[in-house]
Amino acid sequence: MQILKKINFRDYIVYISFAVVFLAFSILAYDKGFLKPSNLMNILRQTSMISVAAVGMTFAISAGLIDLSTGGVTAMSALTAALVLKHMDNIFLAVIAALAVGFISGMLNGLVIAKVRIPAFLVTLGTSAIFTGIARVMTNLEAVPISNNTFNNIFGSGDLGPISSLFIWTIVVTVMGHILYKKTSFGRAVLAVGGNEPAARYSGIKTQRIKMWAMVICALCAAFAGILYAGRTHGARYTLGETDSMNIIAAVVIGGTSFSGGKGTIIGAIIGSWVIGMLNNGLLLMGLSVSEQMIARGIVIIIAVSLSLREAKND
Amino acid sequence: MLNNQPYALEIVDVRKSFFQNPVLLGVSFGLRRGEILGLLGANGAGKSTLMKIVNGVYKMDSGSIRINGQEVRIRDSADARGNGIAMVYQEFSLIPTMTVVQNLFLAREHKKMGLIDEKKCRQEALEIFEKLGIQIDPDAVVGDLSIGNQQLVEIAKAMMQDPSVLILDEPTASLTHAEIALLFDFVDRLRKSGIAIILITHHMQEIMDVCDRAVILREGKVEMDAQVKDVTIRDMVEAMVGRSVSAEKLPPAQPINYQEAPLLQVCGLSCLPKVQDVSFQVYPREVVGIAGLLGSGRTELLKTIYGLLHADGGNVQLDGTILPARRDPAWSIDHGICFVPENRRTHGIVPIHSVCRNMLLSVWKHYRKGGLLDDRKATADTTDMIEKLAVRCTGPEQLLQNLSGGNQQKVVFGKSIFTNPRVLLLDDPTVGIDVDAKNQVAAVIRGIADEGSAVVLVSSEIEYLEKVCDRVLILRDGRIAKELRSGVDDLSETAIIDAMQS
Repeated sequence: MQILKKINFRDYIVYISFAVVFLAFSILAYDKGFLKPSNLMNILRQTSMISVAAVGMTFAISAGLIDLSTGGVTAMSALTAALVLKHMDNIFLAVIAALAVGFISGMLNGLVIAKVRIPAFLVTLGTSAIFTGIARVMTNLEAVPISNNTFNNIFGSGDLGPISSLFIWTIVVTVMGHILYKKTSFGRAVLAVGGNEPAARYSGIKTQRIKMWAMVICALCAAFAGILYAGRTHGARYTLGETDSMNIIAAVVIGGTSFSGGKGTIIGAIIGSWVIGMLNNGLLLMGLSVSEQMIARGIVIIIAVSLSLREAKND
Repeated sequence: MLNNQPYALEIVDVRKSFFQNPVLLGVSFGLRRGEILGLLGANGAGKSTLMKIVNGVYKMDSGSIRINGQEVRIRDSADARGNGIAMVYQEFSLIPTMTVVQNLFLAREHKKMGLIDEKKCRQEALEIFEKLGIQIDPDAVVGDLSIGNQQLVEIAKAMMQDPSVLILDEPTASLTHAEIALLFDFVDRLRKSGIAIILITHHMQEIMDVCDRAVILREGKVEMDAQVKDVTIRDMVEAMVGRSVSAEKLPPAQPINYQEAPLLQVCGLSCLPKVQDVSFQVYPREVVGIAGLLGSGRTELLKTIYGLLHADGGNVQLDGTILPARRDPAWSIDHGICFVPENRRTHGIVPIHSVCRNMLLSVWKHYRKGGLLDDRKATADTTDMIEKLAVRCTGPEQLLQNLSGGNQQKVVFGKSIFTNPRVLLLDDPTVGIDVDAKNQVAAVIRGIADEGSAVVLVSSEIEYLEKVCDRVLILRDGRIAKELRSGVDDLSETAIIDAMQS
């Protein structure tokens, strides 16, 4: 009975956080139109980049790693897509090139972590600066507009009936991530490496290879977020995704993924990203200044994260 | 009946040296199908080296290993597995955050169209559990299971590779009595299925209870290889210890006065479930040893006295004054109780700090001069202590990580002495240090006692207790089972081990 309670509380805290934040803004920002369907869809749209990246980050954190370089990857990917579209006007190539940027970045992170055995935190702290630097020189800080409306519609601005294409992509990535995480032996291996690395090795798992692929998936998702940014803003700038890293990590942890690895959920991470999205939106509607928003958001994140991390302390 | 069975595993004249230091000097024995063999030996007898060779972790210098009559080469753990050898370690093989089924099939999941076929995995897990007679919820998270059930899951995981030889490394070390009974019941059923089992343990009673044969290693050789029904525990103890010399005693400088008031008095102390109603006294200048197997509650007892664990009942008195129940280590240190933990590396030292910084860790507040630290005094005092304990180092500034294990341990002692302890609690202080260093540490312990302190010494090295202690308490299942007094009772290693086992 007691065990049941403990598990329930830990696994559902993200839904409780979601409900509390939702209810709070439903009351506090009701007259500002928080509950209007258009506003709710707007939240989903604005949050989708964080949601998509959070799917990848769940893999990294579950394997006992972290990726601080997602912002740079997102910017590089968006700029790559924009440049390919500008020069070749080929949507397929643009997407492939942007994802390739993510793949290579993730591979770089993963190889250094696996081969040189440096903690992921430090590796990605370094590559974060490198990637951001590369994004800045790619166009000499210039923004690149995208005039291909098909691309813009598919990857951001378009709708399918009342539903934004961004939301549809979020769902697609979530479902794919969830299956990979929960239903494949790769997903199991990621959790095993994060849960107890020596035991995973004893059980015949190539732990360093798993870590590398976890970083690749994380960067691929960040790159896809870059494609969505490009589609949504009809262009790319080196600043895209710049401030997202912390929101992505917060979403994953609020979602119930253990910060030390070994346990987590993709669905939780998505709900977590919506909690962050509602906060951004609701605080803005309430008329708080940007500085006030930052402070309020920080406080709420700390509360939500501390609730999620209250794992069996008595052990 | 067993003699007709072919050998599942034969170890023939296996030798191994590390650098110049021979560890195995030609070990040979065989293991038949359907047999449970108890493998015994004191620390350093070569047990774990031998098992690591069988598992492909180490390479032997010479000798051979045969499986079902065929000579095999085992280069790594995959080879060992391929040859039907499965080892259940004391740790390191389950992922605590994953469920039982997920653990059983880790890296070997059944798949359907690339995705894990959870139904089939679960079904097969249930079948295996049914076959082995295990009653554990396959969907439970491993970290939530009792240690005993985790052990069973681990064995089930090893059994999934259908091994012909199963090696269990001290499987009972952290189990309760009921769990041990369950485990042995289970092992017995495995034996009947024709598998050969090696059981490594320190508990001789377990060997008497479940094993067919006992092999005892001492100093790299097989000292005994006998049918269990033909020997007694006493025989095994003697084979393990050797009849040779008894340790040289290190007596107190002046006789202990047992008429005097005791310095430390432990009254009915309990910290459930590991410590149960323990009472004893330690007199000034006395060294009291505590002998008990791993899991007997010896570490918990010291921690409860020190205040790292809070007692459920009873009390501790220092000089006749009852200590507060909710004291913490800082309080204990201030009142002259000092604890040297079992694991030097994780709890005792800061390896990247200097000798000086480590020794003065507990007492920096006495080294302030005008709000700043008085480095000159610190260095001078450390230098004195280095001399007093004969620590081999280049000086107070050398980093601890560059010292040998024995010298690191002396630094830990130095740290304790700086707090002017009246009661010194030592948890297995000689783990991983060489013979010379052990003798020096013994002299340091005696020296501290001779200055009027009371020392409580837990050690897994029985000859060490024989050497240093004035009294030895035998701890079993959290209770004091027996008391042996120097000069009254036989305090030899053989007598102590005998008392521990009976």
